[in-house]
Amino acid sequence: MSRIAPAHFVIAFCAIVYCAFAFVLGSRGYVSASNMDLFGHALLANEGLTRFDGVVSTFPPLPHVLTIVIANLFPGLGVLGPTTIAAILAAFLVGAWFSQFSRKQFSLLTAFAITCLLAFNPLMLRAIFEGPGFVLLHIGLWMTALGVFGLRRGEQVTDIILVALGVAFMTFAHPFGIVMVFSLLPFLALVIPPDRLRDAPSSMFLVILFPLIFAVLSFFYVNWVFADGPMSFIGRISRESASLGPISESSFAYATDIRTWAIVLIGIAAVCPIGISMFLRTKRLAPLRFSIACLFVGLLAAAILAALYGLLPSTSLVVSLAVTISAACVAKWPAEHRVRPELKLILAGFLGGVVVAIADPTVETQRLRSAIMDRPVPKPDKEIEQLGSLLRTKTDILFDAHAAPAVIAERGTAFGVLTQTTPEFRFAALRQRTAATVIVVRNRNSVFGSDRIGRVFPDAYDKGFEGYTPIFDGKNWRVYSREVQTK
Amino acid sequence: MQSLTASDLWTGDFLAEAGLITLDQLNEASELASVWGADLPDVLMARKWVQAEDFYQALAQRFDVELVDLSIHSPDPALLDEESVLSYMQALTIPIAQDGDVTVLATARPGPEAMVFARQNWGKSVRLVIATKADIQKAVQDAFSDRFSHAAVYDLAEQDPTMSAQTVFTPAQIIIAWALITMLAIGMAVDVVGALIVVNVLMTGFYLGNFAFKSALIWAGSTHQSRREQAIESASRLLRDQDLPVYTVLVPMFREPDVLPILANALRQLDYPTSKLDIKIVLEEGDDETYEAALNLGLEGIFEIIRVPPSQPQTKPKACNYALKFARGEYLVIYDAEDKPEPDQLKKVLVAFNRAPDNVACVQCRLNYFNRDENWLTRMFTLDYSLWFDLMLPGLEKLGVPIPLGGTSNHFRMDVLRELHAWDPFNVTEDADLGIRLIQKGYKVRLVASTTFEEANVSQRNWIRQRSRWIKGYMQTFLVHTRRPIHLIKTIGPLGVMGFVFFIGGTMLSGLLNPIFWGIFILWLLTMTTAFDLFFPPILLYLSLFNLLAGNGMFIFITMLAPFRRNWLQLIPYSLTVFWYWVLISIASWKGAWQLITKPFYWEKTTHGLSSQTAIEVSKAQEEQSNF
Repeated sequence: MSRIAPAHFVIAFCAIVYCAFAFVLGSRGYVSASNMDLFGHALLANEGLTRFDGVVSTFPPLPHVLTIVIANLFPGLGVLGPTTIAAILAAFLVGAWFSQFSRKQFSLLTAFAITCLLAFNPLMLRAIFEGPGFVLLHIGLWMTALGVFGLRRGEQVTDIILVALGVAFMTFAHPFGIVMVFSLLPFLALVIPPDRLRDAPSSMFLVILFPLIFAVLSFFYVNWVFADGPMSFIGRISRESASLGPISESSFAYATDIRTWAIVLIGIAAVCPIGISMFLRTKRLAPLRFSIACLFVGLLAAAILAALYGLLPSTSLVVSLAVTISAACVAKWPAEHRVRPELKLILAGFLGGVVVAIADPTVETQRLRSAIMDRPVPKPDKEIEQLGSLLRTKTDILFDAHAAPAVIAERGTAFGVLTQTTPEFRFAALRQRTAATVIVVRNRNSVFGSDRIGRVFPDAYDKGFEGYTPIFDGKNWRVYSREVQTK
Repeated sequence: MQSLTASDLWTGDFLAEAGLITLDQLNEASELASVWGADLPDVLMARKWVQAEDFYQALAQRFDVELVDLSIHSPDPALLDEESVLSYMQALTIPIAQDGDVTVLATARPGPEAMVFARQNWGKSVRLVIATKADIQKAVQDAFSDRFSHAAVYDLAEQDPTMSAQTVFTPAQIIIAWALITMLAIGMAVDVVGALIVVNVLMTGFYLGNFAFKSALIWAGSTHQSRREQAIESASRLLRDQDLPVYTVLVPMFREPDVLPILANALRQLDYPTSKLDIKIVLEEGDDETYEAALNLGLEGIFEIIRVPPSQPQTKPKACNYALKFARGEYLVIYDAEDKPEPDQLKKVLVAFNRAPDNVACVQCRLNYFNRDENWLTRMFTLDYSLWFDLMLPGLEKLGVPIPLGGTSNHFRMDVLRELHAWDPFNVTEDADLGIRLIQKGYKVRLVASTTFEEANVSQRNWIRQRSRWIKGYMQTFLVHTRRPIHLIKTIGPLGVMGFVFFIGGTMLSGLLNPIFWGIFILWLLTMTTAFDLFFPPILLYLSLFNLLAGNGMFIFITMLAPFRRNWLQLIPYSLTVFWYWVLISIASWKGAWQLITKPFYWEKTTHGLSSQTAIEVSKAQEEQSNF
């Protein structure tokens, strides 16, 4: 039987299992905060409240565009749309793993077992249910890792293509991807063939980085043409979509806590014992040894750098990247005549993943754990949930929905919302008064700062509006409703 | 190394005894003849140790026979048989007159072999006279020149007219073009904006498909080449000389006397027994300067010089078709005058043929440049060729898409080449056309990783001339093979058609369209005009923007990848300047399109020998030749 057919089976199998799993978790109340945020963006875009040029100039563009397109094509998926995209993308990634493994001298069963242990590693599941951004980051890392392993041999142009496109892909998949790429760059010197590095280092780095540089410059250009300026996307990066949460003292403390770094370090080692084993066993195989060193050190450096820049996602997500590195290690494990240890090492990595998933104290991981164990799942932000529920029955709402798309996701529709792209909002901003039925405004003292309504009406949160009564009073948000005129 | 024939042994002894050569010269010439697998007299004359007239005069005296000047005593055409042309050329013996029952034969190789040949063909009643080798070859060519010349031009057009570019546009093609223009005109009359949007959508779709297809090619062409290359290289070393077939090497030339030493040297360095090489230098009848240069180099001793009678169209394929009539190899390859094939190329190709299925009729080797570091253009041209031959063509091969053969170093099975009526003399990229024709006739093309190094154009004007011919030829090829679209799909399959459309059609069409889109973009960038907004509704604008950014980025990137296989990494930064190279391609495309209408069969001659590197190569070749 051809080896292609089983790969298709693996893709279909994983897609079905992941989607089923996502729907079960969804029914138990678990949708990741980043997926809620993405879905909110998609609702706004598909309602025409975000112009397409706003979509293409949003960072990171890949998960945003994908989510909007899928939400438009399959509106019935609702809030599970982003999870479904992530599940299907992940299924293709797993299919690619299996396809690589089946080219090794594994039996079909062994290849399938290894694939399943990786595909259903709890950290991989955590990454998948986090949303499409992180799965795209895994895909980018997989491409990069495959290329990195082959690069030093210098035989195939495809290795250069893989690395060059992989790093570009990671950069546009997730904010952590930028850090990951930045951290990997110096270590790529380990895997470039020494003669080429000696003879033409600038040429080598130029070709590896060209797609990235060109894509970044193109993105600047797109922002220059469609948004306020080449770098305008920076101010619009949705930390919620990237599961980074707002920058706050607690988040900074988490990111810079030595314990967080220790968990990341130990976690990577626990999830990727095959990488460590490969490093130790390949003393005389410099291409493999340097490759695994490059990937490991790159990931660690990324975690540290991300922590310092406040871009560190939860521990489980960072460590989940080691699952993809493990897959690359299996694919590139040197052919040995002795008993092959890959399956055992991947099994050990699976158990390591279970331990990390249990030990991770971050909120999103806790929510996922609760959903898996069928315990009550806390909402990521209770205030947002309440706000969304309240607005469900309202229309003609003046609301800077782009500042909190999760509210729209909770509300289930963007219909009846007047955002900054609507004439009503612009007139309100120009005239300093509004006739909207409902006004939603954010507390300028919240960790998020003011929203656009707050900037147009600086006292709105504290003093409200004339002729409006408060109907919702939260720590971060207040809602005012126009008083009904009685004759 | 092969031993000398009986004729050569006694000829050598006789010349030494007669004092025409020294013993040292005899020893050295015998050794060279064995190494080259050539005839001893040819070596002696090539080294200029004996003059042709002295040699043949001495032979005539030795055998006490007449030395005949065939330019005065022309052979009786009735005695010459067209079917025997190859044996005449091989035995260098021809019938020239009938004297009663006796057939008078002229030979340039008197001896036992000539006698056996004579007896086999004309019985016992023969009389031998001596004629020079050049005279005999010329007499045979003259006798059949009209017929062969006609066949060289019209064979394909008469036998398989739908495959010939003699008719540039068929009536059906003209009607379709007219219908499309009419539809566009009607569309514009009804809704000018709508019609232009449709045109825009089509162009955008084409660009998207073009770069998606070329990306796929690069990917496919980059994988797993090295294993096959190593296997072929190892197997080629195991070939034994005695098992090798006769190989015809055609070298069409036109007014290129300066580069002859490079060619002569490169051909002598081929790792293939010379006795099994049938090398033909193909010259136009009026090209006396190259002919003289060849004579001065003594090439006529080792190589055969074919002089093509004048006729229109005066193209390289016509010259090759003519020379093909005199070819006696089992396989055939074409080299250009300034080509330097890698010495093991023929053997590698033979291995590739031996390992391939029977329907593989052609093997294309890679081309690249020896003067790549000369200037910006040579660097860009090298990147272009590296991309084409090292990445894209392997991609086509892997995906099973028809391969447009490139200029030279394409090796054919002779029987198939003759069956297909060889090259189309009306097509100015006859090689690309033949590649597609081969696939349509059920044959396949393989690639082999052996490189022929050529001289890259150093002048932009000269480059545009060359490229405009190629693009015009691509247009001819596209027009010829799309005459029967259903037949095309049936013979090369949907993927093949897609590849053909994007690879042949895409290459020429993008060259034509690019200036239009660049112009719009630059005008918009400079003026920020809203005049184009009407024709670019948002979705089309985003798609066009994607094409502009991703497409250009991708093409620059793949240009950067091009030199990797050869480790010419110093060329990579020049990829960033590829935009100007694309501008040159567009100029050439428009020139080619204009010539397709005004002068479809005109052969824009590329001037060779302009490179300073070529001069170095020539002097190196001359030095090596004198040391040989």
